[in-house]
Amino acid sequence: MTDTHRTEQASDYISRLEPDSRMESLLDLIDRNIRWLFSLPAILVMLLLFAYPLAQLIWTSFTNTTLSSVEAPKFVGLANYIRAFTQDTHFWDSFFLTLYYAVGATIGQLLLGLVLALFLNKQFKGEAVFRMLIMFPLIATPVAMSLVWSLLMNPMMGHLNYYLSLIGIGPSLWAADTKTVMPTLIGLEIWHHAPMAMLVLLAGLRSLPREPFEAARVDGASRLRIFFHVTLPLLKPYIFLLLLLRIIHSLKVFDKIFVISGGGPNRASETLNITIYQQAFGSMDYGYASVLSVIMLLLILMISFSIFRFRERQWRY
Amino acid sequence: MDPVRFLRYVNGLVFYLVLVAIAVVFLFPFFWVVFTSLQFPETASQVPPELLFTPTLDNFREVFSEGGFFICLWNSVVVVILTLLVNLLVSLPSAYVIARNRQRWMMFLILFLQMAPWITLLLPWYVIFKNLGLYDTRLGLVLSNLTFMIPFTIWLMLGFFEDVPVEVEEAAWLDGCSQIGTFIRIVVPLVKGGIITICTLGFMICWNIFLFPLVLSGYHTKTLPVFVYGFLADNQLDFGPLSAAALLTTLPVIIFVLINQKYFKGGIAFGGSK
Repeated sequence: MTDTHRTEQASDYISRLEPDSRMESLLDLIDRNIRWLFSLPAILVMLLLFAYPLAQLIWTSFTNTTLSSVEAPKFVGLANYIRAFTQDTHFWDSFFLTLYYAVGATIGQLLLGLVLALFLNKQFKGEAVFRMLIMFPLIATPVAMSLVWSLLMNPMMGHLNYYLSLIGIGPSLWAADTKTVMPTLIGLEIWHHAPMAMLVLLAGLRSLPREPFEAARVDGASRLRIFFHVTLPLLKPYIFLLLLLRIIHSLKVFDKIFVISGGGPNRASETLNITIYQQAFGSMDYGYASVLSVIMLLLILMISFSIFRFRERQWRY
Repeated sequence: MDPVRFLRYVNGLVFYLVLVAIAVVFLFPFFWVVFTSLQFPETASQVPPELLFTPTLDNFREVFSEGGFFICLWNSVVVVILTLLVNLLVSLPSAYVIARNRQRWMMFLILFLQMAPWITLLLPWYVIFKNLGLYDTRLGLVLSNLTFMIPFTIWLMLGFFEDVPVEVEEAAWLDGCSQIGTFIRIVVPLVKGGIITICTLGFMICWNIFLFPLVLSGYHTKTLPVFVYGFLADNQLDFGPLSAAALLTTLPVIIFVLINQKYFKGGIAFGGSK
């Protein structure tokens, strides 16, 4: 390397240190305020799409806004809330249906996921292919798969009853009967998300330390005891994470219920989500739908925070 | 054959039989939808089903001739790609800053944002979007998708950014690279894995989303899930074309995710799915 070359490099370096053009001083300004400038777009979008709409929702819940009327909405105080809690007989039904659905689906997913994860927690030929195949319900478009299930479960022409009769299971009306509609929908949600529970728990099982298991085996503990006293406690953080994520998700499920039963028959599967949709876009009663939305938001917050309080170990963040 | 080897053989056989049983339960609707979509309309819904049949593409032809299909497909593709691009532009810098400055309150805010039920936002949006002229536009759909993509992306990217050693950045600064230059040229390439994970999961979530486009898209901007729902309402018991439509709706997302399988599994194991 020649001396002139080196001098050139040095002057180049110095010129880079001194912002001499307007462009560079702008870059310098950006650099100094990068902490704010970098988060600005995200904060703006979230304010516009989250904070403002949420404020408007809460305001609307105190008015008699409707989508159909041309009159300006009037402030009606707590009237909508009183209607929900005391007059609307369906409100509590849909409240408890939502809980029933969410708790049933979450427990089902966790149990099935755990069984599958324990079963698959070993090396075998075709492992990768099998794990890929079992992910299919998770990936596929829920509306499309709901459509497929609703065709399959059609009591008159659906093939599900036929195939089940081949293995000795009697026919069912599935989503067409008030008694079976909720278990059917919960079963579908379990089918949809159990692979996810399995994947998370399997990742958990694979990351567990080996020593506690070896120690338990040396002490002569039975497999059942090892499972309940070693495996389960070690898996707790993963189970907790899943519990939180799945219950929040299940409370919010809309598409599967909407496509398969639409809340029917006779409102037997009308969860809060569906009720809100019907009130807002069916009956055009925006004020009342907003009240139900606020209640639903509070319900989800309450459940999430109570799960947080019960957690025993701090997980990431 | 000695008894120990025989037992081990039986054991393995039982294991694989159970595997097949599990696979059948989870994949049954997929087999069925392919099977039914290839049948002639007259035999598609007959009980018991005809297992040996001459396949036909009539059902797919009927879906394509519906007219709306290709428009909806195009809408879905445009909305998903735009959402992913804008999301990266907005979320990456912000996740980087949060990770570097350890703004813990932001993390809790993000967690809260991920909890909010979509329908809660949808009610005010519908009114706001109508007033702003965003109703029935692709921009409106992109914006609505961003509300869950941004918190989700920031949440997932925090871990990736925290894994980038600060020393790497300091070295770049010493060499005269600006902060913004360091971010674009040094940090972003290092978190490529996270970005692909986000795009894989984001593609899946945005392609599959139904509630937002159901309310916010009108005649011009329907996406495929809304199309398939409308198709169900129109042809209640036409099993053949309905299964063809369902298959066509879900095929792109399955193919896309299978291509990026590795990243998909990583993202799901992290707990990222709506």
